[in-house]
Amino acid sequence: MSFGGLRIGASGLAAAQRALETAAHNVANANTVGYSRQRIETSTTEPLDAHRGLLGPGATGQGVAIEAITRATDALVTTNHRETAATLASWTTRASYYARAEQVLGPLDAGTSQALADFWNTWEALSQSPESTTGRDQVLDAGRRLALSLNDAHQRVTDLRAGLELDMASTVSDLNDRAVEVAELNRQIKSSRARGDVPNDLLDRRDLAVAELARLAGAQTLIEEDGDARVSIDNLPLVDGDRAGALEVTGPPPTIGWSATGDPAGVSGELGALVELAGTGTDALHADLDQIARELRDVVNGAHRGGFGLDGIDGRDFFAGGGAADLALDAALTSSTVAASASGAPADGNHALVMGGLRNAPGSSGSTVAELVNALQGTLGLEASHAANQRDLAAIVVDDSARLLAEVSGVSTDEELTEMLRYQRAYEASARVITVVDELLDRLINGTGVTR
Amino acid sequence: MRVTESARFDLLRRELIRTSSSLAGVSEQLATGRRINRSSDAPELAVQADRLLAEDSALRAYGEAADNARAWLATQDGALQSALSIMHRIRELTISAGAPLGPEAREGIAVELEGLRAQLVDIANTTFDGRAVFAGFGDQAVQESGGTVGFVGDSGAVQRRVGENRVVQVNVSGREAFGFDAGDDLFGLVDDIAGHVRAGDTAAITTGDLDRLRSASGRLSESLGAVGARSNLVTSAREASVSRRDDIRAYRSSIVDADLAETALELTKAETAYQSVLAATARLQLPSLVDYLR
Repeated sequence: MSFGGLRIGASGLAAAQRALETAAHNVANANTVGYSRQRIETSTTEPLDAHRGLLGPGATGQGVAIEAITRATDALVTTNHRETAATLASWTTRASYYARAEQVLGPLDAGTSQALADFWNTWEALSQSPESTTGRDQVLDAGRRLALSLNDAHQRVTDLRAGLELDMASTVSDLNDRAVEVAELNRQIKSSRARGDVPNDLLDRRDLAVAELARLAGAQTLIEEDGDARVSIDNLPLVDGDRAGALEVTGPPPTIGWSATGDPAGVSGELGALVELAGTGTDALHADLDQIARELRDVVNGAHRGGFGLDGIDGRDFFAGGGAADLALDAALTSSTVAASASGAPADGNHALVMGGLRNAPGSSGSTVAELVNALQGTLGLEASHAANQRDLAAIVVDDSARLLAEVSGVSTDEELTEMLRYQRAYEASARVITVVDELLDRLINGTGVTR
Repeated sequence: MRVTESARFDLLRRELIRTSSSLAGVSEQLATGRRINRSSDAPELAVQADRLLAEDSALRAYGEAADNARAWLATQDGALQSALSIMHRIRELTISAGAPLGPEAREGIAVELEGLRAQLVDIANTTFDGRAVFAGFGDQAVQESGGTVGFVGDSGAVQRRVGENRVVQVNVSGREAFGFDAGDDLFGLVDDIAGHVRAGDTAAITTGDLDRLRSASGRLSESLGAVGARSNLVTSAREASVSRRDDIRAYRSSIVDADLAETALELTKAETAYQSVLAATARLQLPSLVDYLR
């Protein structure tokens, strides 16, 4: 009789204890974001083959060994989730931008297009009483409100752009922090592995950080043979081993570049959307507003110059300014110099009719001012609804991939409790084995040769 | 399929967000009474609604211009009608003066004729909204100086836009209506007749004056006819714009406004969906293995 049985029992106890600890760790982290459930893997120990004799053939089992504690992940599912989340982030950014952008021309029924219609109407009214100061003041007032509504629209776009630039700055700093985190985790994982450990929790944290990088900038991640995560943006490395690169906001126009070289970085994800919107997006919007302002100015001034004020003088401008930002009434324009008369006679309101008729007059673009306003509103509405739809679609895809991820890596408490029961029984059984061996030894040591 | 607790919680959380946001959307529609509250709700329709609103606003302006035009024309119509009835009386007096009469009777007729001429001057200077309607862009149509009445207005055309492409002149020229153009104005004619009556010149009265009176009345009638024709034009334009406006409003309402019954039904559906998710969430505290382990 050897003491092998005791050692086998002890190995069973140890394995059951480790398994119980793993289940406890799983239950404790059931709601930790990015946590993958862990499993203990056991195997038989090297069999002992040296003895022959009373106990028969050798190669008998010598108990259980803990092989590894692995985490339940599926690289394909993780990568897929990462990429869908990046798409969602990009569309979420766009949708929230366009939800604000579609309001720049003011609310429906009370925005620029209404101010424009009101402006033409005051001219129609002035044509009926061309000498009235009230009628003239109303024309000035409507013109001022129309100019203001375009000024406001321009300012709103500028504000939108400033907001986007702030978002860019904070996103870039977030991204740089994450890159450093991944590099540090690479280092820790490497040294942990060198010691022969399996750093499951560090791996989970690295997966999470890498997913964040994908969401923020569409970064691609490749796990290299030595276990390092190599993160790249547009094929240029952001994290290589334990070295992390950094991005910065450059411009104007605001773009994202590599801190080290100053070269532009081909970011996508949330940053990609921000760069696009803050640059070309708001630029195009400003350009459209400027076009509207200039067409309005040219159409109105061109006709206004042909009419006479109450003082019988013609050739005056109505609007001044070079774009939506500074469109305003001409500084010299007063109530009495509003050109309502076609002949110079103060009672003549026929030029006000001409001005009112500009409502349907095409400008140099071939469209009327109202059509331009309408087209811009329509484009913004379409973009906003498109972005919102894409966001909702991307959210469904992300929900799906999140469900798949939970299916592979999530912790089910029922499952863990079952495991605990299983290993509790195993622990009890191993303990029982030790007791039995102990009793046998007791019989052998204290009972052998004793007669009563 | 493995189902984990947190996946079930996530699912319910998502559904709670989804159903409550759709509930909020339908509530907004019911609260505002509108199906389209921002362009992105229905981009094409929102733009169309915006265009219709601008058109409606333009039609309102044309309608107001047409009302103003009708008032101008009605004022001229009234003035010309009175002028014609005065002409009728002048004609009666002139005919009666064609018979041999005593000097007192002639003087009486001449005085009445002069009174009627003064009335005609007032009529020629009829104003609407502070403007002399027969004066073109002038302040006054006729003015008496040194015993003769002269035309002091101009030939300005007062115009109103009563439809998108319809500009109508709403004044008739006083110069034409009162015979200044023809070189034989009404006021000078009445002066002549009064002179002839005083002088007992029955030959001049019966041969020339009556003919001249006929032509003068004819010119007034012509102007009255022109006013009537324009009045018809304005009225038909106004009716067209009113009915067009009704059409536009009805169409716009069908685009923009929420169907109350339908929306209320949608709201009930959204509420039901939300409540189902709430109920499911509450029931997520289903028994777990923990409850059976002692």
